[in-house]
Amino acid sequence: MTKSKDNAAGVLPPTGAGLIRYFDEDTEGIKISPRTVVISIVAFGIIFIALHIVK
Amino acid sequence: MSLLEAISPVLRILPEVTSPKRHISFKERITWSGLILIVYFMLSEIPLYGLPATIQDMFAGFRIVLAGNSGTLLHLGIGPIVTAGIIMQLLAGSDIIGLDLSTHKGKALFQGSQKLLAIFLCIFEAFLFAFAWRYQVSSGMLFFLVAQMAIGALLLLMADEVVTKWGFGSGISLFIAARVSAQVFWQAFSPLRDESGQFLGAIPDFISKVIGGETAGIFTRPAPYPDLTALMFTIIVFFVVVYFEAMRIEIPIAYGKYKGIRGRYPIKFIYASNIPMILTIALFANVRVIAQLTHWNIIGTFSQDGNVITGGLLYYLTPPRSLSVLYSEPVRGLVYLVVVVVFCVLFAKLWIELTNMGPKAIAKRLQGSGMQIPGFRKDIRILEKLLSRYIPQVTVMGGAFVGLIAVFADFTGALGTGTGILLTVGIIYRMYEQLAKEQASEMFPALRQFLGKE
Repeated sequence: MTKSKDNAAGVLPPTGAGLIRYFDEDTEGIKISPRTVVISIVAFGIIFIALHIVK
Repeated sequence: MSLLEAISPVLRILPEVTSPKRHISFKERITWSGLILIVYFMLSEIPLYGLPATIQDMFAGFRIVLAGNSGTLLHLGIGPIVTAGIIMQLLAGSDIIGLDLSTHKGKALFQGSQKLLAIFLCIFEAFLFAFAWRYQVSSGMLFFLVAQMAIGALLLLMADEVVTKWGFGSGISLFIAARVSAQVFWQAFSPLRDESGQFLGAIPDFISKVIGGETAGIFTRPAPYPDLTALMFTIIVFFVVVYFEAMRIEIPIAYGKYKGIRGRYPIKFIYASNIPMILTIALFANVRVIAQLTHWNIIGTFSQDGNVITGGLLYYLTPPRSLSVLYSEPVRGLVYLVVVVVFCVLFAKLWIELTNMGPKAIAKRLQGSGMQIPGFRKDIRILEKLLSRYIPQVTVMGGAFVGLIAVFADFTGALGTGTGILLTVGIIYRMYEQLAKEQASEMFPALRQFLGKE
């Protein structure tokens, strides 16, 4: 997964034209663990559930 | 390249979900996909805080592709992510930005700028929707609404990345499939009744009629309610799409360097995938937005609450959603059918051209990877000639098929709408392929190298 060849030898082009997205490549962005993502979504949700109850 | 390189310092501060450094087990992938699915459904049920009592859903016809829920924290759904993806692919394919996508650096730049564009669109689209509510709420509340919608969409962007890296398939596919499946399931089995005492689900309605001793009209109901006929057509459409999804033309190829290595290069029948239908629906959705913003009656007229289209050009761009409606308005049905199929074919051809998937480009890429047609000279013109015997035809037929099946599903009132079923079947089919591959490599670790590391 992390290995990526710079030359395309032996690699076939895609067989249909869907939406192509590359996620295998490591970019230099700020790293977040998947756990953090799930926790922040839950936290965001709970804040708004609380807001609706208070109102 | 220069423009993209100029923004690369910005890309360094964008949040990114860590990539797994080891092989993730089947169980772990299921767990992450499941977790994200649960929090996704949670967000999609929490209403926006401070929303005006009645709102017009400008994107009603487009909802299914957005995997969002009107008036909730996921009002925008995956709209920004999909839009950013389409725009970037068009830019890259048409060589407007000279990105070499066969290199690591090119892919990383492509991915980074796509995310930057998606983040921009999350905020931009939030403003766009809030703009329509400007007379109904205070300006302070308006900004709070923008923030809620934008943050919801941004969190979904990260959730999509978690699924793509740690789960199965991609997040956007998972969300679309989940929404459509939930809708189909709900319309088929819901035991709840509405104010008039009608069952919301098709099967409970059928059972209650049978128990009640009715014999006439047990398979059909008036328009807005799902009936057993619609459910049956849903199943038919499902299998037809599965059949065509798997259909492909296989071109024999051989690896030039080592004699004896032979393989097949498959060309999918639905060559441009379901993108033409997505673009067609997106176009119609934009016509609707224009109609609602300009109030021009030629484009479209709406019911009192603004949610039902009653006339104008737009009326012909929305399908009669049951066979009985189709029977009473055949002209509208015919116009819709022709317009959708024509646009699907046009968009299919355009998409192939702009994303560099035409015979010439594919021939060049096959040649570049050292492939040739066995028994022929290693010449790019031979490859191109052979490919141009199939690709243009398949593009047109595949595009027309996608449009036809979606329209057919809509006319028969199939649950989850035509486009919804079309997208979901494609997604589930690919997910199934990946699951099977994953499970095989789990049971026989030696296979992993053959199948490619996932």
